[in-house]
Amino acid sequence: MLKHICIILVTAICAGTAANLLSPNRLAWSQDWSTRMETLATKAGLNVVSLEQVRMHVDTGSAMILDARSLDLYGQGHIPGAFSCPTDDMDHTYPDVASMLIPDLPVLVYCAGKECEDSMTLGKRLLQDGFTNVLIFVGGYAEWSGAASEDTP
Amino acid sequence: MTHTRRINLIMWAGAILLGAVFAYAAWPKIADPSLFGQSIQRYALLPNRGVSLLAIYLPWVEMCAAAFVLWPRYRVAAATLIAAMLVVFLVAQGSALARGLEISCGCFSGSGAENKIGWDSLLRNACLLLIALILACKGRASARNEA
Repeated sequence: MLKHICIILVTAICAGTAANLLSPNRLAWSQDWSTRMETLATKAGLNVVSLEQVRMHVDTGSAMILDARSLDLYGQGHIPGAFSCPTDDMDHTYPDVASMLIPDLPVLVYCAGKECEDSMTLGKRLLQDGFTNVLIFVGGYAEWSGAASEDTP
Repeated sequence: MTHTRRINLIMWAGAILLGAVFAYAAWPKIADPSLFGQSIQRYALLPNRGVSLLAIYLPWVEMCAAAFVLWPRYRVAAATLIAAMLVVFLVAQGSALARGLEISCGCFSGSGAENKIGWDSLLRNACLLLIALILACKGRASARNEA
């Protein structure tokens, strides 16, 4: 059986190597996936912001902040001043949230952290609907709450 | 219908089901390994280099296992490989659930639009694992009897 498993694996390795060399969608054999969300967000037309910039927006109220996580997680804690706009219930909540956004004011979106894609989904939807200044905080609530707990003496 | 024939029929049905599910799961990942890489990255379990290699090779292991499980001579090996992959998927998804990650499972595409990890995806994998284990064990027993 071991021999058969090896045959299957070798076939898969050969096919995978050939496909990755020939495919137009080929991947680099090694790349930095940790900054990939930032790269994708920038490509999509979203402006990536840092924790410091988020703090500034929270302090000055210079951006509308939208939390793309589920309502449950929003209820457990969120960035001050953020409105809930969960992407798992977008058809229901998005129209109400979008109607209260002020066109000239930047809209800042975030979700759980670097591993989630909800803020990207929400950001793209806002861009489609004509909001031109959409900011994304890729670090999300994980980075925000982590920094907040570090600041607490 | 004799008992042996009935068992054979069940084995074929199981092999076709596993083959179809794994081929269906592998194809979108092969078509866009970059999206699948993002799915792997969201689990936050592997270093960068591991993400790229897994995104390139795992879909092909799934596709080859799906093809070989339909070939009776290789069925036990392919079913064993599928079972091993399902155990890894179960552990990864369980760990993501335990860490409270709200991510798509990346099971049937790399797209974030896919359903999020939950008890339903764990149950689906557990059912597939059961089928794979039955195929592997029954196939081994049959081979031993024939020998």
